[in-house]
Amino acid sequence: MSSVTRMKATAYAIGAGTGYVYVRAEYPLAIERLNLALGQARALGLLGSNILGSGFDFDIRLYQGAGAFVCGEETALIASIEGRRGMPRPRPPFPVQSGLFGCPTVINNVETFANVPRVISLGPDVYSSIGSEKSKGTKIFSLTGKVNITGLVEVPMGVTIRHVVFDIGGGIPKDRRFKAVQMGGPSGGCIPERFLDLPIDYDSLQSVGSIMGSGGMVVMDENTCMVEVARFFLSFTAGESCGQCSPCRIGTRQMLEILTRITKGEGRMEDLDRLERIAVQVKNTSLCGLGQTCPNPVLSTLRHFRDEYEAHILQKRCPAGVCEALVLSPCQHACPAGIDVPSYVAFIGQGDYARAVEVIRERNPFPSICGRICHHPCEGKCRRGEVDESISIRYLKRYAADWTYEHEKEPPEPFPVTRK
Amino acid sequence: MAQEFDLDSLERIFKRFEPTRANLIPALQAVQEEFGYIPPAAIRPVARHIGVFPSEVSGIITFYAQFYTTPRGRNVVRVCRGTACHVRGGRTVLQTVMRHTGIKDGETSEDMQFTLETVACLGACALSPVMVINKTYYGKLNPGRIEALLKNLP
Ligand SMILES: Cc1cc2nc3c(=O)[nH]c(=O)nc-3n(C[C@H](O)[C@H](O)[C@H](O)COP(=O)(O)O)c2cc1C
Ligand code: SF4
Ligand code: FES
Repeated sequence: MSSVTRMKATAYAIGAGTGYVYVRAEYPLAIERLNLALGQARALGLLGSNILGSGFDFDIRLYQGAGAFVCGEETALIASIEGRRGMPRPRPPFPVQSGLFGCPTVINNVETFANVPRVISLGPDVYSSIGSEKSKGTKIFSLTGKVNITGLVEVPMGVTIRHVVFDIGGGIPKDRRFKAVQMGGPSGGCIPERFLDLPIDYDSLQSVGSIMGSGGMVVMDENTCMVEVARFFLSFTAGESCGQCSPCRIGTRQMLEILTRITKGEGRMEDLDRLERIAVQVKNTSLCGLGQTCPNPVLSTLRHFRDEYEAHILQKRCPAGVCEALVLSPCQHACPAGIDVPSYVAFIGQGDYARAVEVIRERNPFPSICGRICHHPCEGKCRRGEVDESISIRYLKRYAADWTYEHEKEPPEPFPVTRK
Repeated sequence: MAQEFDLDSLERIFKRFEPTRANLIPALQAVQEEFGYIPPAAIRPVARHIGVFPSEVSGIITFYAQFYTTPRGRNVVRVCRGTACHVRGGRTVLQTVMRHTGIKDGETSEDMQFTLETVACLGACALSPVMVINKTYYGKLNPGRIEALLKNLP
């Protein structure tokens, strides 16, 4: 595997004798393949003592994580390899001064190591001709979420988000509308549609409250609730906070509580300012990168999607139809007549077509017409559509109505007049 | 469920790890690999072998999410709750698994058939929503497939 050679180049430059690769235990496949690569490299004499007769000794050990996100933070990572709880410590001293077992230690991401030989072999001039003014070279993104083509993409720095999502990713499935792209992992920010033409480089991302971070690009469509997304990230970071400093330990909990309250329709307008205040404080006063960046999803959604927060608080409405306390079901939420879709679909499922039609008629006297001409916004929101195809709600309705008209003995009782 | 606890196998594991602090986590991982979990009775021997206090070993076990102190089911189902899977219906996957197995996140069914846990990203985001049963990955899941997969487990 090429990162082996690349770590070796670094080790040679700094005179290191041992390298560690820290892999999450959740990635068994990566561990298996790395072990294979390391074994092959040793067998070929590319690792070990006196590599290829050069007198240079270097070996790489693979270290399996044990399920703690904070161990990505460099000082926590060192603590973890040393056999301690993965808790960050203040810097300085930086790992390059005093790192693993007190030795100077270089810590980098695999992608960084992978770029070293490229810079050397292409030469700095050629390498820096790729990319934008301030961000050089290429960057690999993990393009995922509501996008047609998912996977790893490598692009020159400075291409637009639109290029990655629409030209490479093939746009949004089922012709839904793009809402945001979340970049940089759990500490990243959400970038809204109006910044689709933003070039992807370190400075531009920072200017809209996001980061390059892990290189994750999660595309979100109109059926994603941004308040719920912020809550989702906070529930993750609150759980992963190592707990040693109070802004992060307590602040994440408080933000999570407020966000949960808002998604339940119990929020208050002053919550928004409070949320922002706590977020800024946690960002400024936490010890490590986890605490310093975990408010980003909150701050960026507050900044770019404030209207969604307000809809939850003022109108007790979740515009995307996601928050369970506010929407009975996304389909009913989307139906202009507010028909109880889950009930009648369930009756149809049981073969009780007449009862299904009864349910529809509570809100709409024309099930047969609606079953033919309605543009069925309900199907666009169907949760089942997230995993494969939406339930064909309109056809079900039409079938139930037609069956009922054929079998009905007497016309239904008209509903009593409720308005004069 | 009565647990057989075999000290000999513990000794065999210790032979592979020199008694240094840095070997504490790998040794615990090996114990877990052997027994499927870390039997509380193993904490003292591990501490003695590495040369730390038992409380430090407990400290490690409770800090890292991957260590378990209770026996686990024959089939460990891990549902991804990472971001990419979340926006593509990861919650529906979790609900389907919970409905089928009758257990919640972190629980083991009484018949020891299933242990259910959630993980923040399994590293196969492009295939979301994803779950792992024992060591096999399953991607692009839908409720029908999940039911079929769970039904056919040994
Ligand atoms: C909470 C937290 C989690 C992190 N997780 C990772 C990770 O999973 N992988 C990684 O390469 N860097 C991670 N980092 C960043 C590393 O600490 C480190 O800064 C980085 O790997 C340095 O390499 P680079 O300069 O080549 O990017 C994390 C940082 C923090 C604060
Ligand atoms: S910021 Fe959070 S994760 Fe980092 S050291 Fe403080 S409590 Fe731990
Ligand atoms: S988010 Fe589920 S595999 Fe990455």
